[in-house]
Amino acid sequence: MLALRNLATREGYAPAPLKNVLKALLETGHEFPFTGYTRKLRRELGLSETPPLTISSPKALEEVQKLLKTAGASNLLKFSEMKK
Amino acid sequence: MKEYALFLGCLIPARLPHIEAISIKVLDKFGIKTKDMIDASCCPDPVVMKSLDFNSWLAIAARNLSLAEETESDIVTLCSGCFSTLSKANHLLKYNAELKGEANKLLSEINRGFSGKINVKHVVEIIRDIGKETIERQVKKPLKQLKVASHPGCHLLRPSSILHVDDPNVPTIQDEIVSWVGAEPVNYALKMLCCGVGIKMVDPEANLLLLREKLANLKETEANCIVTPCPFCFMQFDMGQKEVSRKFGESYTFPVFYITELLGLALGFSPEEVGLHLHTTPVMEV
Repeated sequence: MLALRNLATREGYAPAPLKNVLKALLETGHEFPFTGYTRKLRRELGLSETPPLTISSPKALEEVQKLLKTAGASNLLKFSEMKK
Repeated sequence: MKEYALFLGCLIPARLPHIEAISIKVLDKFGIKTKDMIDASCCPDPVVMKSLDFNSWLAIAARNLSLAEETESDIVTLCSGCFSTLSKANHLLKYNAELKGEANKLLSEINRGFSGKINVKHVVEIIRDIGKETIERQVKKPLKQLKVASHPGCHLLRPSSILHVDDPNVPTIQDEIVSWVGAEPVNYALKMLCCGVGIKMVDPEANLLLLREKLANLKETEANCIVTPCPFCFMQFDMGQKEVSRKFGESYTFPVFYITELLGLALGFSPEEVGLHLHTTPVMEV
């Protein structure tokens, strides 16, 4: 089943919301963006405004992007968009 | 004193930070320290990313595991989705030499590597391991008024041959914790039914039908609230009830708790410290 889904993605048939998850991962390293409200809420809760994750580290993001490129996912997104 | 690398994932730090805050406080009460997993990314998503491209899913998971290995700490995560991805990836990479070789080839390009020396735990397992006696001794406000329907969700339990958390068909771990904080666990027929959130992206209608099925069943029981160990299920119940009520002309208003919120209340943290004011479905009346 998993192989079929992967094949469908390579053929350009992945549902758009799923492709958006990959797009977010490529752009930020995360599935959900940090908003101004998030940062305010975190501060009020006594947490750091932005935790030290990929989202706040250009070097970490570069690593994630490189892995996705080498493993093939970033190309899948391009191919998928082109086909659509 | 045990110290874990806290894997936050994406949903909790960006949307539900009150769960992050109270979980750290609750663990600290029992002498369990957590440290940031610097530079960690999305786990990535156990359904979406794996469906799109297995190799990329495994590569990103391997990088996250390698970050914890560098600090020589086991991982604790608050998210059942992250738990599913990291546990399964850890298992595959530890026991499948071919996959480990491929992942390490990718990781070597960013000067990292996977060796397989750490374990991944969900916070529910940590709470279970703290144990009945220790938890009951620390309870300051027994939650006697709560009749709790436990929703285990899908990703914490299966595949049980890899995750080893609980009986995948008759799970008891959350009900036990509920009873340790003085509340009453309530059993119900559709306990094992998915909350629906996993298919929300591709089929929003089916997602609401599943949630309604579950809520309608809960209404037939004595339950006056829901508890879950998964932030996605938490959000589905907490926010989705309003949508289901509106769409089907019914009324569902179950207060929803993430598992460490219940612990937090029982340990004496105030409702504000627990973050109950940030819930969509009001909790205060329970």
